[in-house]
Amino acid sequence: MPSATDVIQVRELVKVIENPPARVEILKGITFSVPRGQFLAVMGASGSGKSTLLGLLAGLDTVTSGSIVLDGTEISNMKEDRLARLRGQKIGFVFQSYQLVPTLTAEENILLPAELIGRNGDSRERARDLLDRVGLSNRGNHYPVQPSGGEQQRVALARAFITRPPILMADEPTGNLDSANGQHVLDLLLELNGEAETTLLLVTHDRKLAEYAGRIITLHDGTILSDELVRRTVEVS
Amino acid sequence: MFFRTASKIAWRDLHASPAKFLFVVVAVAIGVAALSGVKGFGYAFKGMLLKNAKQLIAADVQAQTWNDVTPEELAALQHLAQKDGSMTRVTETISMAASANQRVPLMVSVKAVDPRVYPFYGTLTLSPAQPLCDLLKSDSDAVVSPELLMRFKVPVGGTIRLGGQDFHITGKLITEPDRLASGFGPGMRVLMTRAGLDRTGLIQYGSRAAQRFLFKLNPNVNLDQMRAQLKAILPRVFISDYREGSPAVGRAIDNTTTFLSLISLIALIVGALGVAMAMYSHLQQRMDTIATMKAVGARASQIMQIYLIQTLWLGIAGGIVGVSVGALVQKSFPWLIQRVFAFLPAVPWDWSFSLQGMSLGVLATLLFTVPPLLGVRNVRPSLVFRRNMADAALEDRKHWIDKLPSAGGALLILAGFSGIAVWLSGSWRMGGYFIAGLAASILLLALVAAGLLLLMRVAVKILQRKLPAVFRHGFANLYRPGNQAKSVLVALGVGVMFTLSTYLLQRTVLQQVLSEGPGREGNLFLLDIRNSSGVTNLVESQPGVTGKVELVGYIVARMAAKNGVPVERLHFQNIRSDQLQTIRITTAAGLPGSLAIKRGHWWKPDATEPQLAISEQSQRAFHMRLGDQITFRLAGRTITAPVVAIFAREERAPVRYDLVFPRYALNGLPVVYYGAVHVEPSKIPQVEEAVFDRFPTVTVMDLADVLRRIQEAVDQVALVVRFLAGFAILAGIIILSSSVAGTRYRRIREVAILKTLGATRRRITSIFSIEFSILGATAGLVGGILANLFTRIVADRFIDAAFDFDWRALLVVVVATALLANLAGWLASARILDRRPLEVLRGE
Repeated sequence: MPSATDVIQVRELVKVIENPPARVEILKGITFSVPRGQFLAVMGASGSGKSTLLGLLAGLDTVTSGSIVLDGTEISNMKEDRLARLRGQKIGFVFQSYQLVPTLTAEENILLPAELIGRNGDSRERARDLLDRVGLSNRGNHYPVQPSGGEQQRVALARAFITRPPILMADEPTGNLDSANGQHVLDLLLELNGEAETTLLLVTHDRKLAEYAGRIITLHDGTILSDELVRRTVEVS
Repeated sequence: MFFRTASKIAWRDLHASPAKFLFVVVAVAIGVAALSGVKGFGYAFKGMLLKNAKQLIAADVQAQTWNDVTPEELAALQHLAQKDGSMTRVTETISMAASANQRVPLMVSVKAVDPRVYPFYGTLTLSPAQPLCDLLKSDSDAVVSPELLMRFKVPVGGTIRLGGQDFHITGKLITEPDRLASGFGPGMRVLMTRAGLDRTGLIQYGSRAAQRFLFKLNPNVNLDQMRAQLKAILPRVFISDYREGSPAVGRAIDNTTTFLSLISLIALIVGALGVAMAMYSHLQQRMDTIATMKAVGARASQIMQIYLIQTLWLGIAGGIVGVSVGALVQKSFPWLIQRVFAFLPAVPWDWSFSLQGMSLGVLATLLFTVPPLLGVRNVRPSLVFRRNMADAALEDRKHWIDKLPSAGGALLILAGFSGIAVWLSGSWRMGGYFIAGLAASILLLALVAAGLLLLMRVAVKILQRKLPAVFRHGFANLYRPGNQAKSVLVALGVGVMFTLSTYLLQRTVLQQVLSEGPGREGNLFLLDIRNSSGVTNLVESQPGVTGKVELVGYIVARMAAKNGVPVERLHFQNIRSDQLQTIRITTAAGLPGSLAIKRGHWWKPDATEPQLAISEQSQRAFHMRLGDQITFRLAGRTITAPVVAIFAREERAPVRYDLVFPRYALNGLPVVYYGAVHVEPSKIPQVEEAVFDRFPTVTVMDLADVLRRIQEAVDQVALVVRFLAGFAILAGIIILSSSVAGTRYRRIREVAILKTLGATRRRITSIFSIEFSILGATAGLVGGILANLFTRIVADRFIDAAFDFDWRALLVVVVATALLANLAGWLASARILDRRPLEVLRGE
């Protein structure tokens, strides 16, 4: 049952891709809600619909039917520009392949979401602070092609937190990294998330990674196979 | 607030791929250079005309006529001049001339002046640098242009023969201020005294000579009053004063400027089309950045801001380069026309035209980047989840509402360029026609290109099993997402169409002159014949003359009245009153073969009573009907003749008949004849010499010489059009390269997969070559067919020439364009084949 403390509410969510004569139902009427501050992992095999779900929750794609309420705002029929503004204000993103803007330096990349929503007050100080927190204070003026994959993902992490969003969405954040770098990024993600008390939505196919979460939803062929609350078995290293 | 970040991203993005954007700058610059150079020069030149107006007519006010004036009129003019200033008379005509070293006569322009007073304003540049009256001391002295000395192989101090008289060359005429004032400006020049001209007998009734009466006025004389008094004495002559800045030259400059401006606009449009394609390809390559920015909260308008700023800078950069080159063009114009104008004042730099040129460049660039920029709206942020973003295309959405902004963008482009065309041509009508014609051509090309691509797709489907695999792959590549096959076809097609049309038209014009022009009856023209039987007998007795001389007589008359009403009281649309002064009446005995009677009856061949047959064109121009009584004044006589026949004429006919009298009705009047005869080419010089010796006032023109002159004129126009067409082709090549570069990632991966599956380099090379060849050959085919159609329409409608579809030229164009496309495609695909498959597949 959805409650007033739920920051994400999803009801009967359906996503169909029609490419006549083909018609693929990717999500087949999913319903769930996420309370504020929860760390939710969405798992599933390739093609189960987890990335599509993440995209719909962030308003990156349009729903076929159903509703999504983000922090009290219904987004399923929202215009693209309002969605963009909402994303800037309420969602931080971490992608598998970092997705940094190649023509901006690390510090400028971190600042970008704040500039897009016109929040410039203490953003520069906060960007530098975040750079420091992810251990890249000496890399602020470097362009994305220069640092390693792990460093790029740490810049992306800092970018996700710049506007202090209430929701953080991460799509396979360690998928492109070796284990050491992956662990480092994960530790930072959990640390920053813990401090900001952000609701964290992590999409992964890695069971070990999912077990860091307080709740795991497993998708199979566009439906929820299981939705389980878990005790943390792995401590942050 | 986002502006700074947007500018930062835009700037760094430009830095990341300078070569790509260099094309954009060059594309804009060429159009802007052409526009600002042409416009700026036109304006500066007109300014110069006004500033030096007194020099251009060498007087304060002038009266110009193609008829001789009566002694009473001359006396009145002299009286007026004594009262208000001074007057001098300048007569100009053309004639044949020869020298001891150049026995075959050549045509020259003859100008007779009073060397004591001419010119009233401006200076003659002479060598030796002496006053003109010192060089033209006697009636047998002449000052000539340096070109004449060279062509006649005669030095200063030598002699030339002209109108049966010898003239002693006393100096070189380097420049003269009023050279363009009469219309006899081009060609070799001979300056002599009035008495000298009278010696030659060149000026007789009906001769083609311009008479100019130049006035230098006392300071207190009112120019308008003077004009009114002149008009009262010579009511039907053309009067102008220095304030008009040589109106004929001014009009010519206006027309030329408009024509060149519109051609420059084509360059700008093709350049802007290239810019649009380059921006499209650029945005295609920036899809990941655009999707990422949208994912982290950027609105479409914020992203558009980045690329709009970028486009603006590119437009401005192109504008600055263009304006600088345009300034050089503007500066070089005076050098090009220095032979014609005596004075070469520095053409002033006009910033307003540079600014206008630059604004047009920026506007054109912005207008054409609207559609690709609108595509930014359609980039879905969910692309960030896709691993191969380069696969996604910057395509329109399917719903018609989503297509509205794109349709609006297209309308904006059309409206913007229509506005520019109207502004450049200074006419709503001309601007409208220009844009409609251009838009129709591009649309037609786009439709044909799309149709051909579709046809190929269907053909491949049907022939799938029978086609070798490399061909199937090559064909399929044309439809890959992001492949700009249609745009490449349109751009290359436009270029090919322009180039081939120019060539075909040029050839058609020359062929027409050769096969159907006035040379049909002969290859030697004889003009200004007065003694028709003498000239005919002489020419026909010459060796090498293989036919009879065909003669047509004419007389210059003044139309005085229609049905007893003086023409001054009648209003004829499109005919100026001074044109009624020099109406050419042709004579004929029987009905000429090129005419067909529409109404009325032709006279008997031996008819002697005055009667008039008129062309349908003249009937419309003069509002004449059968039975109208038309009164003419000619050679001091007044003749009234009824209109007895109205005829249609063949436009291709060698003789242009308008108003025709029976041949024997004008007996005793000074009829002038012209004609043509066929002479073996090697014997033409002897015939020219013989005619010159016996009849020095007859002008003889060799067809080969006429053709050479036409060829020169056509070549000059063709050169300009070819230059612009070359640019359109260059734009097509760059678009093709950009299009190939835009699908580079996909190609790299494809090559890796094909290599992994065992494809050899040769096989992959074949696949790509087939793709490029099809694109090039199709563009060549479409452009070639359209060029043939276009030439056919122009030949039929405008130059009335026969034109057959040129299959050979089409074949050459198809092969050449295919080769060109391969060159461009492979330049953009360089190093794709060198990548190791594992490196690429791991990179995925």
